[in-house]
Amino acid sequence: MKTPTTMLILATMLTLTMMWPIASLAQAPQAQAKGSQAKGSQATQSPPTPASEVLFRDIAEQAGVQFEHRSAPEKKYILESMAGGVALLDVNNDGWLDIYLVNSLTVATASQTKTAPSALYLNKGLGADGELTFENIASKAGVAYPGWGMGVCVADVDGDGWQDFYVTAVGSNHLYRNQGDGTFIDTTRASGLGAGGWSTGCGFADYDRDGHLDLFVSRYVEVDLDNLPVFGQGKTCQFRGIAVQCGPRGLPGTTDLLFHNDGNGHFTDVSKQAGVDDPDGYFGLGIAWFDFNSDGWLDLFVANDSNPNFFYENKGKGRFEEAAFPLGVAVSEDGGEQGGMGVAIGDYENKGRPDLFVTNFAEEYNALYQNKGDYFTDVSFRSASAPASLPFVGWGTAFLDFDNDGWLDLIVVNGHVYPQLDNANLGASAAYRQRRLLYRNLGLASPGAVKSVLFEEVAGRFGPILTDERVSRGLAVGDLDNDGRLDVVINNLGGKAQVLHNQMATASNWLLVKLTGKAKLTSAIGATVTVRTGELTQSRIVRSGTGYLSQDDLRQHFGLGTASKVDALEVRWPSGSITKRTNIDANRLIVIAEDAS
Amino acid sequence: MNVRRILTLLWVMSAITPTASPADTTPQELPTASEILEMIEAKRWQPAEQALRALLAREEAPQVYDLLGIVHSQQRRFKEAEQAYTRALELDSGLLSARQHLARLYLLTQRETEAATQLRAAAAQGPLERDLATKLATLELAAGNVANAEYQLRDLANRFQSVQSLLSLARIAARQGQTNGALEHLQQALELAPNSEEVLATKARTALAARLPVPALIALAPLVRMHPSVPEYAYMLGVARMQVGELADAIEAFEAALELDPKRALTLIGLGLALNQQKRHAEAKEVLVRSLGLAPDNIEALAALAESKAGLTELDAAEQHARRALAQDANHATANLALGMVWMHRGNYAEAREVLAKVIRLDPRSAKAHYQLSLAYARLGEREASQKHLQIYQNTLKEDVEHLLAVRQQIDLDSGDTPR
Repeated sequence: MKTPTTMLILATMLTLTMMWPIASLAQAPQAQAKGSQAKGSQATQSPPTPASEVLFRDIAEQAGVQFEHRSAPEKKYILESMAGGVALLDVNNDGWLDIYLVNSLTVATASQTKTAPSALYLNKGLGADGELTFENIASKAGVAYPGWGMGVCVADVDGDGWQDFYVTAVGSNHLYRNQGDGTFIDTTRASGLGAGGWSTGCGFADYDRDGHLDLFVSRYVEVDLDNLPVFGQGKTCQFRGIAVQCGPRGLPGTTDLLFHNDGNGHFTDVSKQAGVDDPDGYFGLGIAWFDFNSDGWLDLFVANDSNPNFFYENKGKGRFEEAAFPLGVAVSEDGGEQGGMGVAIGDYENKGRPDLFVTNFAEEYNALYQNKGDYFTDVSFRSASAPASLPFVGWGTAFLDFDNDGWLDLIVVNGHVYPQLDNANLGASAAYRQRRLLYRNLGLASPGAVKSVLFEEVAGRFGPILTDERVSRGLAVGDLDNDGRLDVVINNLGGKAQVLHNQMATASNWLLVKLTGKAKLTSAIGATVTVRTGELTQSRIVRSGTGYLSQDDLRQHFGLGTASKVDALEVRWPSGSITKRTNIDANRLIVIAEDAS
Repeated sequence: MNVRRILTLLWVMSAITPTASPADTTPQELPTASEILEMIEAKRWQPAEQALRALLAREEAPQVYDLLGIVHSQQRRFKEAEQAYTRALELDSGLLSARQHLARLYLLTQRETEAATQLRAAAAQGPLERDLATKLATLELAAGNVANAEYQLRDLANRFQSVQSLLSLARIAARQGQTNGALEHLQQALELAPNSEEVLATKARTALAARLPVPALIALAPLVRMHPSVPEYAYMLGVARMQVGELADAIEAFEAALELDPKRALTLIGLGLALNQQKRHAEAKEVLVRSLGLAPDNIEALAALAESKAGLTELDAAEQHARRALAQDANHATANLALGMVWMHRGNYAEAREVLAKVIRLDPRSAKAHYQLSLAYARLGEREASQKHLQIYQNTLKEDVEHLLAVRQQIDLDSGDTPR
C-alpha cells in the first residue's frame, strides 16, 4: 500500500519540472572540470589518464553490501554458469538508488529454494562520514526467494509511480509489484507472467504504444532437472579436449516470449502473432528495446548465444519483422555466429543515433555495430574496441561516461564458463577468471580516411579494481550517491558482489535527468533525452532490461565536460510528445514530468 | 665386387664351362670357369680377358662376350665393353644380362637415351635388376611415360617391398591429382617403414596440399615428436591445425616453427593467416610485414596483409596491398575479398558488390563473401539478391560446419563438436 504522503509526492513530481542540487553536490567536482567538451579530431591526442588516478573503489563491504552469489564450484551443468543479474532501482522513491542482486540455486540445491537468497539493498544515503550505507531488506520486502534466479528488469509496470521489477529464473519467473511501503507483492500468477522454462533476459516496453508496458523475455535452453546431460559425456561436453558442462550446443533451445499488457494487471502471450517467438529455439540471453530508426516504434534486439542474433524491427500494429541479417547485426563480419551475451545501447558518436554493442564468447570479438540510420555497420575493429576483447568471455556491459567528458565510454565484465580450463592450454583465450575491460572514448578520429570514434582500453590505468580476475556476469550502472559520477555494481558468479564507487577526481560537469511519464508510463521507458552543450549533442534512451540480464539506473546521466550549462534539452516521450528545456545549470539532477510540458 | 655381380659371373661361367667337344683336343689348356672367376674377383683383368678370348676363339658364346664386356667395363674400356655386349646381344638378343650390362654401361657413360632403349627392351624380356628398374622408372618419368614408370615402380614395390618405389608412386598419383591413390601408396609404405621420416613427411605434404588435414595430422603427430627440430614439420602441423579450425593450436605450432627458423617466410605467412582468422590483425600485420621482408612479392603474404590492414581499418594501405597482390594474379580470391572489405568499410557498396561477386566466382564456397555480398545488396536496396546470398551463406556455413565437425570427429578432436 502506498501512503498518502508518498502519493502526494508522486503527484507533485508528475506536475512539476523540478531542478535541485543534490545534497552531495557541495562535493561535486565543479572546480575539477577538464578539457574540451567536444573532442573533435584532436581527441586522439588527449593526454592519457595518469596511472595512479583512482577511478573506482569497491565499497561493497563497508557499505553493507555483503551479497555472495551461490554457484556450484565445478559448474558441471550449464545452469550453474549463466547467472546472475543486478538491478539499480529506487524502491522507495527517496532519490537514492537501491540495489537488487539476483541469486541462484545449484543442481544440488535446486529443491532448497531458501539456500540462495537474492538481496535488495536499500540505499540509506550518505552517512555522517560521507559514505554510502545499504541495508538488505529483501526478506521483509518479500523479494528474497525468486527461486533459481537469473536476471532482472525494472519498470513501473502498473503506472502507480513505484518501480516494480521482474526476475527471470529457471522455472517460474516473478513479477514483484512495489506496494510503496517498502514491500513488494508477487503478482506473477495474477499477471500471467510466470513463463516457465529457463528465462534469461527481460525488458519492459510499450511496443504497441497503447499506453501500457509490455514485457519481452528471452529464454535459453530446455532443461529437465531430473534428466540433465552428463558432465563431460557427449560430443558437446568437451572443450579443447577437456570434460566440461554440456551445452548450449547439443541441447534443445527454447522459444522467447512477448507478453502484451492487457491494462488490467494481466498479460497475454502474443509472441507468435507478433513474430518474436523464436520458433527455432535460439539460445537467447541479453535483450534491448530501442527505436533504432527513429520511426517512433520500439525495436527489439536479442543476443543469442552460439546462434545469429535477432533484430526485430517494429512494423507497428503489433507486428515485428526479424531483420538482423540485412541490418548487419546477426553475426560477425566474417559471417560467423557468435556467443552473444550482453547488450549495450548508446549514442557513442554523439550523432543522435543509438548504436549497439554485444559481448561475445572468447576468441570471438565483442561487436560494436554503428547505427547508420537504417542499418548497422560492424565497426568493432575500426573503433579499436574489438582486439582487447578477444581473449575474454564477455557478459555485463554498458555505455557510460565515466569521466563526464561528454563522450560515452564502455565497460565490459568477463569470466569464462568452464572452471576446468584453469589448467588448460587456452591459446589466446584467457583463463576462467578474467579481468574487466574499460574503454575510454577518444572521440572522432579518421582511421583509414573513415571518420569514426576510437576507443582505448584503459582498465590497466585504474589498478586492480578492474584488472583483478573474477568471474563476472551482471553489471548495472547508475549514480548511487548522486554525485554525478557513474558507479557500477557487479554480480560475480559464485563470488561477492562489488560496488564500484566512482571517485574520479578529474571528472567533469554533469547532468542527471529523471523522467516521469504520464498516465501508466511513469518510468518513461523508451523516451529519448537529447542534451546540447555548445556543438555537442548527446542522446540517451530510457530502457528496461540492460547489459546482461540486468538493469541500469532509469535516470539518464550526461557528462558535460567543461560546460557549466546545458543549452538545450529535449525529451521525446513514448507517446510522441516532446518536452523542451533550455539553459539548465550543470551538476544537478533534473526531474522532468511529461505532463509539465 | 658385390654378391650380385658374383652370382652373375657364376651364371655366366656355368654357361661357358668347357664341355667335352669332339674337336677339343687340348682342353687342359683352357682355364676353368672357377679360375676365370678367381681372376675377376682378384681384379686380374688381363689374364681374365685372355682366358675369355681363348674361350671365344674356340666358340663365340654370347655369355662369354657378356663377361668380356664386364671385364672391359671394369677397366673403363667402355668402347670395347659396348662392342662385347653388342656382340653378345647379336648372338642372343634375349640375353637379359647382357642387355642390362649394356644399359648400365650407357648410364655410366651418360648416354641415357640409349640406356633407356636398352632398359625398355630388357624390361620387355623380364624383370630388371632393382637399380635398373628404378632408373628406368626415373627415365620414363622424365620422358613423360608415366604409365611405364608406374609399371616399373609397382613391379619394384611388389618384388622388393620398395618403400622408395611406393613413395614415387605416391608422388606420381599426387601430381595427377589422385590424392587418395597417393595416400594409399603412402600407407603401404608406412606399413613397411612405420617411422620413416620421408614417408611421413610426404604423407603430410600430400594430404595438406589436398586440404585433407586428418591424414596430415595423423602423419605429423609422430613426425613432430620424432623430429622436433625440423621447422617444416612444425609449420605443416600449423597448417593442418588451421584446416581443422584449431587456430590457437595452429598459432602455437607456427610459433614453434619460427623458433626453429625465424626467417622462413612461409611460416610467417601461415602465422599471419591464423592470426587474421583469430581477428588479431595487429599481430598478423607485424608477422606478415616480416614475411614480406623475406619474400617481398609473395602473393599470399600481400593478400593476407591486405586482410590485416582492412581489419585494422587502415583502408588505404589495405587497398594498396590488395592491388599489389592482384597485379600478380587478378583472380586471387583472398586479395579480392580484402578489397571487397575495403569497399564495405568505406561504404562504397556498388564497388564492394562487384568485387565480392568476383570472389564468389573464384571461391563459390566463401561464406564470408556471400555474407558480405548479402549486406552490400541490402545496402543497395537489392533485397532479393541480398536474400539469395544470405541463403547461400547460411547453407554454406552449415555445410562447412558439418564438414569440419566430421573432420574433427575423425581425429577425435574435441569428440567432434564443441559446446559453443
